[in-house]
Amino acid sequence: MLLPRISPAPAHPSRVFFRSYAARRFPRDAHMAQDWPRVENNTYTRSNMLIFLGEQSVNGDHPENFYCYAPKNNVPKYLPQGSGRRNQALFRRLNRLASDRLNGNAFFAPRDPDSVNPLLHNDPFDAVPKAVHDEDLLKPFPLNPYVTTGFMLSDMLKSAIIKSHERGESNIVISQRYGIKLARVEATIKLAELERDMENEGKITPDMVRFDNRMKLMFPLTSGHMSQADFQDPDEAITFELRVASKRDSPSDTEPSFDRSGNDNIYEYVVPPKADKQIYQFLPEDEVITTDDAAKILGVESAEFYVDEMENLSTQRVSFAGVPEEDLPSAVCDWKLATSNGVHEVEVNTSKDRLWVFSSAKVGKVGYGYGARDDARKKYRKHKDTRLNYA
Amino acid sequence: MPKKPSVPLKSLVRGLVRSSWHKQNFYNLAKKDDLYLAPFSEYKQRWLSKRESRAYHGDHITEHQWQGVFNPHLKSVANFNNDNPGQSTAETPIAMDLFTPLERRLDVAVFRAMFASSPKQARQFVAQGKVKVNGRRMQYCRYPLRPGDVFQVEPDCVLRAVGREKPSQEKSELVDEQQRENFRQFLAYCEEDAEDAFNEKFQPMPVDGLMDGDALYRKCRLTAIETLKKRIAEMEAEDFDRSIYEESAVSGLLTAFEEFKASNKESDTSTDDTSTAEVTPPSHIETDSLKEAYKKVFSAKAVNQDSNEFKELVKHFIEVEHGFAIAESQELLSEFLAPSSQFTPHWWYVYKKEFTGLDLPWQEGPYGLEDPDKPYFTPWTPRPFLAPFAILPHHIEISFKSCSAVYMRDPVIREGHSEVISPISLEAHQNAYRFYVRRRK
Repeated sequence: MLLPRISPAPAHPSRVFFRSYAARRFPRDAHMAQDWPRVENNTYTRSNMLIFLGEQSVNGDHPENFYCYAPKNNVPKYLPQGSGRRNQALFRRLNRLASDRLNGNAFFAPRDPDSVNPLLHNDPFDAVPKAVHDEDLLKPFPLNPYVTTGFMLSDMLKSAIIKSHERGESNIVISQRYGIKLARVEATIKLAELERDMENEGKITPDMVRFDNRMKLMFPLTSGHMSQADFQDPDEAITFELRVASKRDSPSDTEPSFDRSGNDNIYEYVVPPKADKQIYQFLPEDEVITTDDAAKILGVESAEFYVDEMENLSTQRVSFAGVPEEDLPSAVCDWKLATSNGVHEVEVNTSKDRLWVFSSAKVGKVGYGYGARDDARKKYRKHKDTRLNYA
Repeated sequence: MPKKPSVPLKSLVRGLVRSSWHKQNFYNLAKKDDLYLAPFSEYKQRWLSKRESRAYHGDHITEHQWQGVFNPHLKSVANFNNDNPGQSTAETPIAMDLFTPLERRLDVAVFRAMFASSPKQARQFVAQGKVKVNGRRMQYCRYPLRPGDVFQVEPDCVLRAVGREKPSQEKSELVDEQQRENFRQFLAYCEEDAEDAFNEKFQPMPVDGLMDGDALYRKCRLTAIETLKKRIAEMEAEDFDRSIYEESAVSGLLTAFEEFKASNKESDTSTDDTSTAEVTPPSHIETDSLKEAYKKVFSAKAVNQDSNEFKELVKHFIEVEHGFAIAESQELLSEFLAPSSQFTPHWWYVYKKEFTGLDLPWQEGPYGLEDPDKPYFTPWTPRPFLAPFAILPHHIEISFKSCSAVYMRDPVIREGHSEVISPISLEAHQNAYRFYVRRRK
């Protein structure tokens, strides 16, 4: 006899792992639309995705989707922060769009998809909370709040850095003044030089300029610690001042400010790999330490070894075993020759002595003529060089 | 040759997030939830976390290759100017240092610098010899970059990877056909209700976000004004070829003659009088000789087109038509010269091909194929669904103009921040680290 269950049976673990998928599906009626998405040709999962992406236009885009087109206002478009249920507001909105389309209601198609940015505007239907901090807009991944996008150096700041460099200021001074890390200052100067070289060679095409201009609009900008004093041109200085003042006086809702997050921390210290090991060792005063002990601690050879090495480096003993004396090159005979047991040994100064010396010669006047014109293999040679056929 | 993946990389059922800009991958990222690990054994927890994190970090290299560079000693950086020492404001996600060794690889750095849509594509570029490191071609994708290295990618490859896909000839024609139809419908709407259409303005098919309708209108107006001014100057010149009006002048005269005769006949039948009605020339005929010629032609029973009088009249009518045409153009010009925010009944004439010289005024050629020799969509436009993946790395300084970048340092981990870019949660990183550190060499 079966006993009534008190609690529902737990789902199979492998199913439970895909809980996220189960929670994010769209209602069944959203899949039953007549024209779109074409469920009959798709799996259920794929149909889910098509609802999420939105209707396709003739050129293959999904213009209704907020994420389809890259931003043009230096405010990134990332998924809302927060995992799980908080993020479902986005899916609820898409769900509503899908069912509206299904029921043939006046489809709320925003002419400007930016107006439904879940982070910037409160949605009257779903009450999606606005991003708590503007900094949240810089976090691209919902599950990882530790990742943020970097800031692009504004054109003003770049030109200021390059002008300072051309004036002969050191990179450290520039880094301190503008609050940009030293490595970044060096990289900016290096890239500016590269760009200038390419421009002079005519390698920058109009499409590359277009690419550059468009990509610059996707990322937040920073001007570091620039101030009015950094401008040579008075007009430029005035516009900069006005811009800063207007931003301070009227902070708008739609234009988030990332002033605080754009600054580099130049006091940060990255430990170089070599500094990772202890290079000092403290010893009691009365302990005697020799060079051998020091070498052992540092994990290198002893000092004597290096002294010997340096002496040995200049002279080397070379033996010509099995070479008859008459066959020795003339240069070798000039060097100091010692013979023991029929083996000739020569002491060669590697920095000075040369066995082979190149001298100019004419073809045909020197060397051996070989047999076949195109074939220099040994068997076709007329002249066999016996000197090299040692035992 | 790279190994073919044994599983569908962007599988919707698996739902793993890959390092790719594909829209299907974006959907997988959007629907991703926290790992649900509680009921599993410790080993399975670690294994599942490893699976998730390795799917994103270096899914193009083998497990053996990855373990060759895996470093169990994780690091973070110190802040020398800590205003409140001893009070840590945020947790240091040190486990995210796990995949730093992979970020040093050339192919991953090319992907992070946004010169390729995935590390796989970056590896392709490297293998094909499209990437230079410090001015020299580098064909090894696992080349470890050192601080200060400059790498440069062939611009055509970058524009192809980051830009829209180049449409085929058929696709381009299909899209243009649709656009032409939309535009035609809009012009018909303008003819019907010019004022409502003026408030809406024309919105072309979006390619890189919505186009500013007002901007397009203003652009067309400028072209139209220039064209009109040029045309009026041409018409006012002495040597302007006026033979184009001859046909209409002759036909106009003939119809006027027939109308005159018809009205005469009606009055004849009603009054039963044989005398013809008096011929009154129109007001624009001023000279006596022309008036007489007019009377002579219109009092005749039929028109004799070879007669001198008729020819004289036609000559005069051509002049009149010419004057009308100039006046019309000037009237249109004065309408176009009004402020662009002001409604005028003929405002939409500026979109016409005779003024813009273009079939579709917002694009200067077939859709996506303005320069068909290029391997990418022209004019260059960013690919769709680039927005959620457009992340600027902290450890690489990029110059988009020259398609080159400087690898400044290895990415670091600091308080509350990770320079290693990863959609995987910290918990999964910790578990994955435990998985690998278990089998330390």
